[in-house]
Amino acid sequence: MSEETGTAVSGRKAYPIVRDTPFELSPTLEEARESEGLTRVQTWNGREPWLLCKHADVRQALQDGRFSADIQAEGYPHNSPTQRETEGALFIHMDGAEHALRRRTIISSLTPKQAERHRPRVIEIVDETLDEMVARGGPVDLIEHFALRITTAVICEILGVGHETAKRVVDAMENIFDLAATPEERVKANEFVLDVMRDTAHAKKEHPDESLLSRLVNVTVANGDLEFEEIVTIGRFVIGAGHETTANMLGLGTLAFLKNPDQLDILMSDPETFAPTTVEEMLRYLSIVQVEPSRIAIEDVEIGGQVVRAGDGVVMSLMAANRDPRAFETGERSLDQLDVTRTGITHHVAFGYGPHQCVGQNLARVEMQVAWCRLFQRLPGLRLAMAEEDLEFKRTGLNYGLTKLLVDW
Amino acid sequence: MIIEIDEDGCVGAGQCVLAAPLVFDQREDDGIVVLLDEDPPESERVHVEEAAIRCPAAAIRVAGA
Repeated sequence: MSEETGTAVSGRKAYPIVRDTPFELSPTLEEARESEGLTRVQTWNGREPWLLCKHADVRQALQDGRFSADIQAEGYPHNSPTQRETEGALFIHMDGAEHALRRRTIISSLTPKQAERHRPRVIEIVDETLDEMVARGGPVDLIEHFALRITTAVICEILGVGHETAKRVVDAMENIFDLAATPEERVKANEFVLDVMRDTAHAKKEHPDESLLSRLVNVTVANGDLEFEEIVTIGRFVIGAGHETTANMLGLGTLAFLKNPDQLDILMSDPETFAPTTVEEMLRYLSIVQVEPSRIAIEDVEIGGQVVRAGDGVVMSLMAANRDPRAFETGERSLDQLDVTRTGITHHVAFGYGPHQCVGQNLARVEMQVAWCRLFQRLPGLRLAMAEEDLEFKRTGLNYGLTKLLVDW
Repeated sequence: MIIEIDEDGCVGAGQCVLAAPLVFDQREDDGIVVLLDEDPPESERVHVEEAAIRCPAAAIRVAGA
């Protein structure tokens, strides 16, 4: 594979195709979206899945039962040599009733109503984090001392994982999210997190509390709905999906505000009105999930004017779909620009679509609504404290984001 | 306006509750959709239509003038 051109030996584009700059869709993806039919791309192991970029095609693939999330299936477009090992046991790779049973064990803790119940505590956590950040004094890394602090504290409280344990888990998970980490590092990190979750789950048997993990151990397992080991993997999934994603959004979104001060002014002119539309727009505009989701066809399916054969893999770009002019009306600002007043976009696919759509999305919305407003209320003069050319982005990450964001105020 | 919901298809994402909280709710135990109002006033149409288009399971149908 030629690193410079991103073109695989076969002439297919190498996948993943990531953005070159933080807020612009890759021209390759835009071209694919605006072309008739579908094109194949080539993954790290020579597989050639179809690439979906149109909003309608992405939604079809994620909702149509003829596409499977089964990572063990021959031909599945794996994102790395270790995906089978690090994600194999997760329910996100099951289909149908098997998947629904497991999803339902956690979704009742993460509904919009439940997320609202967490809002007062999210506000406390954000304010405590800001107190510490201000006490530390600038410049500080907003990713470490704000974004990750908040998202980790929130998900760990809900799950029932203590602060010290949480820190070790989050450090280990960095390797799971970075596709450039070695297979050994990724597998080792996964085993470490599972060990920690297993210990924590055992402790919940002895000392039950109100947390999600405690309920999984003391109700779901006790009722015989799931095995103990399965709820260990569910705990690993919740902590993994619940901290890095939202932290990437908070970091990258803060940079987007600094680059679009007029949009920040609109939000801050009336946070109550504009926080919800701002968060939906940031989700659409930033579309940080940059490698997944992927599926495999289990029957022949016509999609985007192309017959995808049983056994063919499909990969998709949520970012391309979220800027698809066929799906959203263009307001005063184009779909490639940030417009925090934009409405009619809540059918974006930043959280995916179909039976696997993000279970944590309602909590993530509350976290973002609170965090950005409190940050800029407290520190209205927040500014970048590093050269723009020194910003480093997660080009090899499962999810896009900043590795560091030095700010002062 | 007549609303039909497909409980079996529902995946519990709660997007209908965000879009139209006066019309939709979720069961406490498993997050499955509960229709609060089968024939809501016309003023709810815009919210119900948003719920239908954003539902990840395409489990909401809106009919009737």
